[in-house]
Amino acid sequence: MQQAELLSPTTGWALIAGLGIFMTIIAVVVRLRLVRNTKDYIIANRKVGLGFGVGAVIAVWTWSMAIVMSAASAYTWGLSGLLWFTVPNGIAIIVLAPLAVRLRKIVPNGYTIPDYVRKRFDSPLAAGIATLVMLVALLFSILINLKGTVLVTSAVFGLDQIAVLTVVLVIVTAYSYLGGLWTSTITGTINTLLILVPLAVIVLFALDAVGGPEGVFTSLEQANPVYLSIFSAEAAAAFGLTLSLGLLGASISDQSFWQKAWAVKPQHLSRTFIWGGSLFYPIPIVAGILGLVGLASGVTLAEIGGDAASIGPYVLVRLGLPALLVALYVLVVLNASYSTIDGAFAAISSLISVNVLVPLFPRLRAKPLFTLTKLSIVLFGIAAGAIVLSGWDFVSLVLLAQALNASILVPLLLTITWRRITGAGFSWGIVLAVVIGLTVRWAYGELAGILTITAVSTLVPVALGLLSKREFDFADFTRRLGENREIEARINDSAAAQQA
Amino acid sequence: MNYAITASILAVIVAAAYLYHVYSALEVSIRESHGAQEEDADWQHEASIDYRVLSSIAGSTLLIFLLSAAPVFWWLVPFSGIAAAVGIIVAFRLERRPEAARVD
Repeated sequence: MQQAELLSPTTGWALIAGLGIFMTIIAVVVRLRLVRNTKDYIIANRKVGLGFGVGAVIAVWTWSMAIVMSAASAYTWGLSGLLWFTVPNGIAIIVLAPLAVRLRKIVPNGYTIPDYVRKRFDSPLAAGIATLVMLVALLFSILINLKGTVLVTSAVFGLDQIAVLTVVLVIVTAYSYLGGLWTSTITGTINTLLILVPLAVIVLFALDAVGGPEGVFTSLEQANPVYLSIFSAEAAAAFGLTLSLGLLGASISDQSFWQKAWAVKPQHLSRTFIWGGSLFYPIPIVAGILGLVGLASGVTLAEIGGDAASIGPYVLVRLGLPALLVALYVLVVLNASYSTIDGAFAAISSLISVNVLVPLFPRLRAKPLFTLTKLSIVLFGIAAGAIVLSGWDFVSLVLLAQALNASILVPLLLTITWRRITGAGFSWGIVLAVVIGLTVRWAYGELAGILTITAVSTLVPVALGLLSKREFDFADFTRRLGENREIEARINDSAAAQQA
Repeated sequence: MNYAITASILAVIVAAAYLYHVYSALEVSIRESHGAQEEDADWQHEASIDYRVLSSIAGSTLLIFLLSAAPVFWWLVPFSGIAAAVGIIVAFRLERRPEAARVD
């Protein structure tokens, strides 16, 4: 491989700003043509079709870190690493299909998971905990995506990290503010195209640049035949099991997906998540090939600054590919980053509107409700920027996010499927899991921590549920919800909201 | 180079078709947003999803297995990215069909 040479920073800024301007134009069109009130803004009037649903689900789930981490997994563990990174990622989306259908049957006109939790348990505390966990998880997903963007833009263009973070945040906050879920869905679908297709072309040119895959294959075989085996147990033990639990927690605790579960037309619901999970698979697999090229070329960890996540951009820059192809790779990462941040903002707006503004300010009219809902996006954009500028360690952030996601996983599954779970079981399950699990993780490491969190968050709600004599009647609950459409009435006042 | 050039040509064609379908679906969404009320779901026809889930997981594992089988597959696996974009185009087309009103 040749010596690495950075591309012009101007090209980097042009990519960041150009993609932002393109998405903003789409957001303006969407805002003018599709968004008339808070209901359009936070739930897209429940009119999202199959194509937009699938495209948006893939976009939200494709984190910028997923593109660089799939290459990192392959670089570190070979094909078994790629397998353990890829398969649980898709499953985490596919399992949402039956859950989303079940939840949509129970609450046909729902908005957010915490709202369902509040109504099911009649407990503002349980709803408050769910809201807090979900908001923090969304904030973390924004930060982690910013990290991926910074990693790639600094490796390829040598851009200043703080400047990139600030500009990306401002751009995505601005266009997310304009159209809410509709914008996120439509821009996300375009982001998915700009991830899937260029990535395939880039990787094929990269294989061509190294003289074809035959050399890579032989090098890997000679270096260590285990690199070409998908059945190595080493990768599973090292990160596969922890990652699988973390990913399940991440998807199930992510309001971005539940928001879509209530926004997609009911006849397309199950297909949206199954197709979304299935069509997501090529992204990490194709991106992972770059990690294998780096591994076969003998790139050392020291050469890439000790961070395996840098292997993808490093390989492309070192291969001496045309600048256009390297820039295209950065565009893929930017699309992944923008779409997830944008999806997180849309989810935040729904949580703030339905779970904070509506219950706390019962007399708030449609116009200020719509305005405040949109402003919540700006507020979280500023919060994300402040956290980044404070220099908080990203690794700690990722681990904390994983712990929070894992703590809500089982209580949430039980809330959707089990008659016996109580509000106390839900709340204490999450709180104790976080407190005990984080302590165990601090003392005994990541795997012990996440297993403890999962165990405590399972045992507490199950034990309290079994001790309780009450059985929840889902059918009666659905009937009662059908008679009470308070939130619907408040957020669906188009005329008043139009003026906002 | 042949594979990369072929992929580039396919990429342009698929991207154009994809964007056309995004535009058409956006037009439909705009028309719908000014029209009918929410649709009530008919959950009676809901099919089992087990086989689709299993085939999806098997498919992804197969793609990675192919990378371990022979170098020639390394040229083919990246095309799955373009195929996935075609899959989304199919999703746009499916929702236009009258029977798409049925719960899947």
